[in-house]
Amino acid sequence: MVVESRRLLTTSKAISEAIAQEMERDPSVFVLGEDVGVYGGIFGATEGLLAKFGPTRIMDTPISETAFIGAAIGAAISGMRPIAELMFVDFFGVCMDQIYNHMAKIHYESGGNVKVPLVITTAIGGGYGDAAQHSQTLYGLFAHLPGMKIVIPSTPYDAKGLMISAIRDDNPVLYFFHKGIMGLGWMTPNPRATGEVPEESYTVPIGKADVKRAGRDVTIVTVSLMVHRALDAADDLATEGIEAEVLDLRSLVPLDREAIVESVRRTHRLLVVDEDYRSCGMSGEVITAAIEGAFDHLDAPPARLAYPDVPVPYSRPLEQFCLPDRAKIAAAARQLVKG
Amino acid sequence: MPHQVLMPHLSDTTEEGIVVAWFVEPGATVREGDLVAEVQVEKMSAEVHAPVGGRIGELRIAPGGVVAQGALLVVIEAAAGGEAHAAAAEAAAPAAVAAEPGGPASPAARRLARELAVDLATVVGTGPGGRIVESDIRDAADRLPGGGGAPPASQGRLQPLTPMRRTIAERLLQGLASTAQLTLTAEADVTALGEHLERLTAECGRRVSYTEAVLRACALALGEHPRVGARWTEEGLILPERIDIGVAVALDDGLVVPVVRDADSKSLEVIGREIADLAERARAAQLATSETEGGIFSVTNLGAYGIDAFTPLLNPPQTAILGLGRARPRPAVVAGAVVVRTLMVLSLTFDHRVLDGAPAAAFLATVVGLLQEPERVTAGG
Repeated sequence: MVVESRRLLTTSKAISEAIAQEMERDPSVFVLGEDVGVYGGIFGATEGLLAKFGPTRIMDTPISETAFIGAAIGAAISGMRPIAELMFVDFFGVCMDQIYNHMAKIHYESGGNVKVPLVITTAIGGGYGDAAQHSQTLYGLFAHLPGMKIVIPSTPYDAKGLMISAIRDDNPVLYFFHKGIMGLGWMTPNPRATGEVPEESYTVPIGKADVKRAGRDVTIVTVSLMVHRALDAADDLATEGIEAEVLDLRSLVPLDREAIVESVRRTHRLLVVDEDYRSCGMSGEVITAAIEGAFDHLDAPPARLAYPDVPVPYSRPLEQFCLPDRAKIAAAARQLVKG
Repeated sequence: MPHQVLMPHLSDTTEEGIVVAWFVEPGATVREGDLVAEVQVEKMSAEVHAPVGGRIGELRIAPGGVVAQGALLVVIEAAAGGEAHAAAAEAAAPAAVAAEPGGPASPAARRLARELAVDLATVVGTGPGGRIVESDIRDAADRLPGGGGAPPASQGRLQPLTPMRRTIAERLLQGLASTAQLTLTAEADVTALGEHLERLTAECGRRVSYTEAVLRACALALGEHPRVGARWTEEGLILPERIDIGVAVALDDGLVVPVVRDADSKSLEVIGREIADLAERARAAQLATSETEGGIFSVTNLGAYGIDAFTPLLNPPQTAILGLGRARPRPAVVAGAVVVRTLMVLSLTFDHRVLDGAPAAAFLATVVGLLQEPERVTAGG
């Protein structure tokens, strides 16, 4: 009997492996942030790096996001390739001036003379009862601002390849990892958080969407943990004879509009699933791309299933009511196909 | 209650057929068993009868239109209580109101309707809320004469392909593409055979043809050369257990090859009557699909059309086919002298994958030998 051996990693281990391989390859790469060293990152993205590279390259910082992100920007424009971890994206409020007025604009304001090869990693998402200030996704807010790339992986394979691409990119990159895709023991178990990851170094291009499941009846466009939910919903829909295509955008800046248009031209129906707030965000942008590029191929008005425009409730039943999930995605897709 | 009348399943080897003709109009009242339509799949036609009495709904396929086997042809609104009165059917009709044609259409449907020249006002929507969606336009285009789309604006008049034409085209092209065909010819002196056949014709009051004599000769020769009747598969050659031989019958626009079963154990007389019966029913489009399947070899005769020799094409998945030219008096050399003899050219096309030239030639020589000794062909069986 031939036993096929696959190398399986959780997403968190895939990310820390990517960082370690780039640090071995390039001495200018280093990591700083809150609890990234001794603790290994509170969601495991820098696990084991302190032991491997020591405190001069894996730096635990004080609780001052403005200070360490400002320091990272300074290091980046001086020729280093820092990775700064913003523990929760919800904390952006205390350091946003550094991010959107400095990191995102220095290259432009210097007439292209200064590069800012900085990666900011940050944890997003809810579903585990962490309330209004620790459960948001907010990638749409950052994607609204020009000057930085927005990367949002959904699988261990993509997480590693996109991290290596982000570190090698000369532009500032915000790298959003959802806590629910990391494969952490204390979260609700998620089989899709573990996947095959090659040991060798490889890149996944930033700005290229990926069809995670091919289908002919409806296109479901989403990112991150909602890719997992959409794949679950697609399994349910398949038992009813509806073949859903699941398109994982993987990055919002650049946005792969061609992939959206190409898929909708084939399926004639679009559902956007977004864990970010509903209005003026990713869901509206994706639907606009589809209408601009595939209007004459639509069989139904594009639909979206997004987080309602309310703060994330602490109450578990209320939070679950707000979050898109497997059953809601299947119902929305069914509605599009069958009315 | 509405009763769906479906396109019958007539063939396992093709999916679609056509509606040849309707014998009812929408709104007409029919009794159970009334003739509703004639349909055709591949080369087989069949009558469709009303399974229940009642009122005929919309005819879903135009005459000549292509339709999948099992697809809906028409809905009969059955009369209540078994009383197939028009009044009862009329009373029941409003209950079965279908979506009206010409409802709202999606952008995708509008685009495709433009491209395929489909009139949206004639299309019934099946999408949410009765919206006309892209698939409705595709279905509507398929029902247009010619199978969809506007005919080319220039040059020529489009004649829609019949299922038979398509089948002939597909099978012959596929046969040519997937076999290594070549043709051997040999001349047979059928002077004695011709005289023999004339005597038999006079005796039995039926024209006894060269075709049946050659078919019987081939059946006997196939017993000696079973490889000629073998079928190629990737696993190996399938050697025949029965000698079933097809005989080509020309139709108005087409060709069928009904099969004479166990031709080696039948007399010339039986073979002759069977061929006549098969040919007559083939021209009346009354053959069952099973009567054209399973042959291991075929015979085709173009002698009546004034052809001396030709290269027949294999009838897949068979390995060989014998073509008959016309038998006519010609100068021949016998014992060093030129004499008048009746000669016929036999053309054997075979698949070189299964059979090499020498064994194919040996088979042809056996057939020629049998034809030159008519008592061996006409005896027994």
